[in-house]
Amino acid sequence: MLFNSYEFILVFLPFTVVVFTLLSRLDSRRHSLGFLAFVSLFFYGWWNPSYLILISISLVVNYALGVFLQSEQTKKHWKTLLLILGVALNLGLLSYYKYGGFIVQIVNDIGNNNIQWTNIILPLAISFFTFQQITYLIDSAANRVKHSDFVEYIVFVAFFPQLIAGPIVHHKEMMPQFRTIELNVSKENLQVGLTLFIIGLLKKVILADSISDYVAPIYDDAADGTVTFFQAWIAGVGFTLQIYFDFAGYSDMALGAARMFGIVLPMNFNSPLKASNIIDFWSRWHITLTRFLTDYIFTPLSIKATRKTILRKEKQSSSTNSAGFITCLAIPTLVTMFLSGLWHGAGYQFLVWGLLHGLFLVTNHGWRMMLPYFISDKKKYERLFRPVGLITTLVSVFSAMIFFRADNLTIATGMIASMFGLNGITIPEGVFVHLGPFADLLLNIGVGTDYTAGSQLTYGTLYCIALLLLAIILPNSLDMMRNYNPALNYSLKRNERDELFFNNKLTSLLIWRPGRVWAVICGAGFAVGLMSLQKLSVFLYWQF
Amino acid sequence: MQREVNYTGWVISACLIVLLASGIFNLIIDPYNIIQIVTLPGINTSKAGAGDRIAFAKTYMANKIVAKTMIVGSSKFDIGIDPDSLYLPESNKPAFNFAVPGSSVYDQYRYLQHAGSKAKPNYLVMEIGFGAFLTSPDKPENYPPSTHGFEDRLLVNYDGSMNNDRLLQQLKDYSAALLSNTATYDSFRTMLAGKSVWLDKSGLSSGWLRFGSEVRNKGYFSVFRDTLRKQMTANPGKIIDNESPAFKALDDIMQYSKDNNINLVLVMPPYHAYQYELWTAMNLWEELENWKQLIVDRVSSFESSMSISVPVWDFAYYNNITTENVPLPSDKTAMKWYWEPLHFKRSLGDVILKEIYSQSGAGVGVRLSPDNIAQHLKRVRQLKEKYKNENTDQLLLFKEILGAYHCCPS
Repeated sequence: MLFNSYEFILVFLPFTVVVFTLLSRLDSRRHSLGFLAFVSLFFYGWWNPSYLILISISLVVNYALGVFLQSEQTKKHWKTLLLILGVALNLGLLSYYKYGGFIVQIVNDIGNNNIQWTNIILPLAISFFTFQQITYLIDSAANRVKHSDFVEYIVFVAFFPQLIAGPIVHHKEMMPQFRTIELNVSKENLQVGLTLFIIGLLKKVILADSISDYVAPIYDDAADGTVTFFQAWIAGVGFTLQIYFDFAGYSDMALGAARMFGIVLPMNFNSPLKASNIIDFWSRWHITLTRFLTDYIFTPLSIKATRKTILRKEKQSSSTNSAGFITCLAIPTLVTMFLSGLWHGAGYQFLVWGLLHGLFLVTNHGWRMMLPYFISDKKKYERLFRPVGLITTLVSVFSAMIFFRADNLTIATGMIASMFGLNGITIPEGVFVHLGPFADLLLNIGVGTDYTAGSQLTYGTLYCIALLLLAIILPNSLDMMRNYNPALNYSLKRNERDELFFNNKLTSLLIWRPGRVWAVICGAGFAVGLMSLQKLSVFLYWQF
Repeated sequence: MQREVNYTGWVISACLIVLLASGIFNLIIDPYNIIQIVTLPGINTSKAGAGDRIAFAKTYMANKIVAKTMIVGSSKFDIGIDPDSLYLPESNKPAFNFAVPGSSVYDQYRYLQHAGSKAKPNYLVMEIGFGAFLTSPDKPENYPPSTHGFEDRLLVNYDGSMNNDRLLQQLKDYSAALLSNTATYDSFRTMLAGKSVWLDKSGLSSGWLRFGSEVRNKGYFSVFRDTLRKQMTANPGKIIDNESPAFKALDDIMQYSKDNNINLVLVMPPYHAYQYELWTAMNLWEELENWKQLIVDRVSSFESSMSISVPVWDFAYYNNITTENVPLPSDKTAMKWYWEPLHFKRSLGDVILKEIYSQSGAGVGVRLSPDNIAQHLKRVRQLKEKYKNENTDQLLLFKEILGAYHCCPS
């Protein structure tokens, strides 16, 4: 069941909210929590009932392991063994379903073999519930988890607003909320939740889905041959914006749906395209995944490397900063981002995407380290380099996103070549004929014509510009809802620029208030969102 | 202190009001012409949305029309054959153009079954295009093919039984036509389009609205060139196979016509000479001749076994209309008969109807039979040669188009 489906919006969500509200009158935590556990598993099973068994087994096994790991009576070496077993089981399950085909492909590519692999349907949300349960086991072994009952555990892992695509929640931020679940029903929660859900729905169905009409055909064309310079840019920018609004919309809907049950989920998305450098970008994009990767992969790797470096320093009494930078920062960053790429998808192109972002991050860290040697006035630097950083970050993200979306590496590299003009620069003839005197000028500087659809270029470009401005200029939904605690870890100070944005009578109107005006706007928006869920596909005039 | 309002109640009320308003607006404007409750000249007659969704719109329109003549085919007939043409005998009217762009011969049979299940026509004019019969030898297809999406909204199944899935599809279609942003957008387009009719009541689509702005902006040469180039890169290596689904669907159409006393006329549409030259360059000329021969043999065999007559008209050859000069790249002069090599104008559609029904003897169409097919094919080869010899400038233009792409085997 998708968030942007009639069955979810018109049946499942209202039904669960109403029943949950009625149950809360019983003042029984057991009933409220049990109901949430039941509907969450129903939500998961709706997609494919057979995978309900898979998630149920995963829940039972991990919970049991967690109990043993939390127990003071379990000896240390048993804890280590159980932890290794638990992590291996989770990763094994994930590898089988998600990476089996890819592993076989790598083996075939390396050994020139022809091993066959039957494609298995990837269980929904397996990457999310696997990671969440691994963190639970690690923290259980480290005595960072308080004992919880099984129903609490089910809701922690499978709570339907966050099950499908995050945020990846941490037990310490969820369990306390579940302990008072029966007291969570309130008008404010419903109002905030409904508003966030509607904003998210509009981002998804109006913004993300509209631009996909211009982006998808370019990737299809790329599979058949070379795409033009402008097509490649629309593909890169357009897909970044599509996934941006898709993910932003999804995150808002998840926050909104959870809030209707009084649960505040952690912030997962904070206007990443406003980032002026790639480190900042990753602190805003899929925040809970970045947190997970930092806490459970980067930091342990970096600490281990730092310890080794310190020991070596003591022995050799000489070392260089650059060696430390490479071992303690660059390599852990590259490894972390490599795994991030792998987590996002099973394919070489995802690995390249991850590694590219790793390289961007290492470059950014290196730049920061070198900066004090060259520039002393930090404020002046900020003023001068912020626009440069913004553009560099955007171009880096756009170009890397081509790898994320393309079907394979060959297609992606071809598109990157076109993007940077290596296949020449051309304009559709349909656009060229309208350029008047500029047409000759363009011809003289080597810009040619092509036979791609002029309307695709024109509308695609306009869409990209409009959406990019929306993403960069306007405050995000959390900023708009900032007076009502829209997400965990959200703080006004994070967005200083948006704070300035609101210091104006006109723009302050964008701050949400539970009044009639906002209700009417949201209601109208809700209607538009609902009406976007059904489309009549356009027939492309076939000429044969 | 701000007075507390029932925020959730207001949100739901506003939502319902907007939904209701959109529904009523779309009901009145009816941009796909599927509801037809009111006609407001200059306001809801354009049906701009239907112009982009012809299959969808015509499927519902066909249920509301009782036509003596049904015209089926693909995009060529959709914009080229006017059911209200003066050259269609009055006794054969009213006529409905149920030609659907991109439809296969099987699709056309299914549309015919759909329309016929409500009211059977007396006459059927069917486009049989060469392209619709080409098939990939390496991709064998079953017949009948697995159910296509559009079949959910047809009244009957392939075997003639009632389609039980239709009600659900109808609900979805009506709901999308009333309560979707696409429908609201198309309603506004319909209102703003004023008197420019995209799809008229008899099922004729506007060629001018489809191709007009393109030929106006780019000129005919560019439009011709683009169409030819698109074909060069699409699906090379196709052949004519007597056992392909298209031939089987043609059998079904002939049988259906016979069983329901429908007078069937088969028409090979008039492509522009550049199209024949392209097929020649793509090594398809012999396939074209082979196809004509197979059609005639098949129809003749059916006629003999069923003791009925099914006229087959060939307009797909070189004559003074199909060899109309394509203007030079810089020349924006309008062509009289063609939009581009595949799609002809309504004026040529009238010539086709005149030839079929008045047998004017203008020489633009030939009624094929087993007796004259060999002679006809021989004559067409001569006409082809003549065109080559007498139109060197036009062929130079054509080669310029072809040469740039290196599509085809030499």
